[in-house]
Amino acid sequence: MSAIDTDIRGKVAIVGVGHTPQGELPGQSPELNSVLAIKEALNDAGIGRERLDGLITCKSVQGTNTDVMVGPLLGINPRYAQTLDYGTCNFSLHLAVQAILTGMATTVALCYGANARSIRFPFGASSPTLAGASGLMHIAGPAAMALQRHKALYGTTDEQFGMIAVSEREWAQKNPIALFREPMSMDQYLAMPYMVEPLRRADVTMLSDGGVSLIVTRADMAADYPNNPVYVLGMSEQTGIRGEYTPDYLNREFLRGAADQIWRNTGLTQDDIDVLYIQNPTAVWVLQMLEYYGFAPPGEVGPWLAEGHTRPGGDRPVNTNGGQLSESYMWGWLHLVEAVRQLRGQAGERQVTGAEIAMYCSTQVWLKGGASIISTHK
Amino acid sequence: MTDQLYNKPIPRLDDPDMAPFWAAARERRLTAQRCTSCAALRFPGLPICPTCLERGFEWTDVSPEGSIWSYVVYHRAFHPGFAGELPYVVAIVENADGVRYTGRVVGRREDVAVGAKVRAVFADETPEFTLVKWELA
Repeated sequence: MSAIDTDIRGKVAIVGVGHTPQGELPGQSPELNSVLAIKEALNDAGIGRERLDGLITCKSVQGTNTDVMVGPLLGINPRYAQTLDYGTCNFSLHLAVQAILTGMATTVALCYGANARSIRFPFGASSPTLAGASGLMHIAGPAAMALQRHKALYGTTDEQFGMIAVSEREWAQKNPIALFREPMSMDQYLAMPYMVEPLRRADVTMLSDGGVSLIVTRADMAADYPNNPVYVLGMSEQTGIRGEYTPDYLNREFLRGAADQIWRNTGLTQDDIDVLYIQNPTAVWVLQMLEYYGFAPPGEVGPWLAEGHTRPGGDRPVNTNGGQLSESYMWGWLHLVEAVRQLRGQAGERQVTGAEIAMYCSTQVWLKGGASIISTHK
Repeated sequence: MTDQLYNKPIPRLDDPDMAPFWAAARERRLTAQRCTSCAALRFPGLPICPTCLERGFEWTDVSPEGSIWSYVVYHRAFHPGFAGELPYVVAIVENADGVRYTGRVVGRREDVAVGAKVRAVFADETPEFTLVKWELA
């Protein structure tokens, strides 16, 4: 019996991306936003929905938007359908690659839909636990806890950390769909009050409604599509699903496992990555992942950030869409859309010259991490 | 203070995995679960030992002394019950037995720091519910 072929490089391609307007979409359910986004992605791919034989949905924050809830609106019974609890688009893309390479599906729509803003989803709700009774609530709480620890261990300053939010705002000013586009200087950032110290409001994503979709297919069928196919070069995942029973779980050291795998599997290095995307419900995600994926020296991401690498014109462009701090919430899905647009050369005034390889890193909060590397070249 | 006036979140005191912890807190005791097979301590409570997958356990008293692993200061109330307490400090504390607890820190804000020594104190919030907090040592 031959060994299992684990070489996925260049075998699956993203051939369509689409999304709804972002912001407040009153009266539109997560499922409707998903289908509207799929429609856009199908248009971008130049195909009709009859070409889809796979659907992978990502649950909305309130637990809806499952495949069987999206199906009735989408009007098709694809061969393969599945739902991920927390796709971040990365885990969704990985599942699509697995489905396609095993012959379970050929052309898959991935989607996410949310209406958290218009329904005023209570992100501040506390769990009936010791932590909740103590007032630790909202994602900003544990995120700020991780940042405070980083500051204490490595001397990371507010100004260094603030460069993440400032840099994303600079990029967002070049992105017509970004929700926060007004200028924000470092002085303005530092003048903001703390929300959950050491986090300020600008370090945390905003609530937004919307839908996002990608169309993914076999690379050997991708040439017929109108846009340049964007191939998946590598992917990796690592969990930390023991959660708080891993003592330093907020540091998410398990991300190192996802990093080691993707560099090993692809043979690529950080220097090969032209544009980098890091999912960021808070800026702490960027801080941690820059270190774990090896873009900044361990413990030294603060001084590295202060050097301005991530900003427009910098040598390490990060979240060129404005990220979740300035573009839109969307659980990171728009990061991968932006990566595809950059690689196709369709990123308008924020286009990074010669961008050929992009990387996207994301997590399911404290519990899982994943990365993908994509390129217009196999 | 009565339940009617207490408008902050109250844990599920009858949660089978945690009820003994809350009962001990009424008696000013800090506790954790100890596996009767491998003696590993765990908190919050679980119905099986994640170290050895045996189900037997007992709740045991642990050291009320600890140090702050990290902390945050809330300047915004995400629950209306906390609005009157801003700014307030929440920390993850590792006690001398290596068990981690999330809890409020009481004492001078300026003295709160990663690594600061703290000691468990017990605040009767309602006639049924006592919250474990941490006082700077």
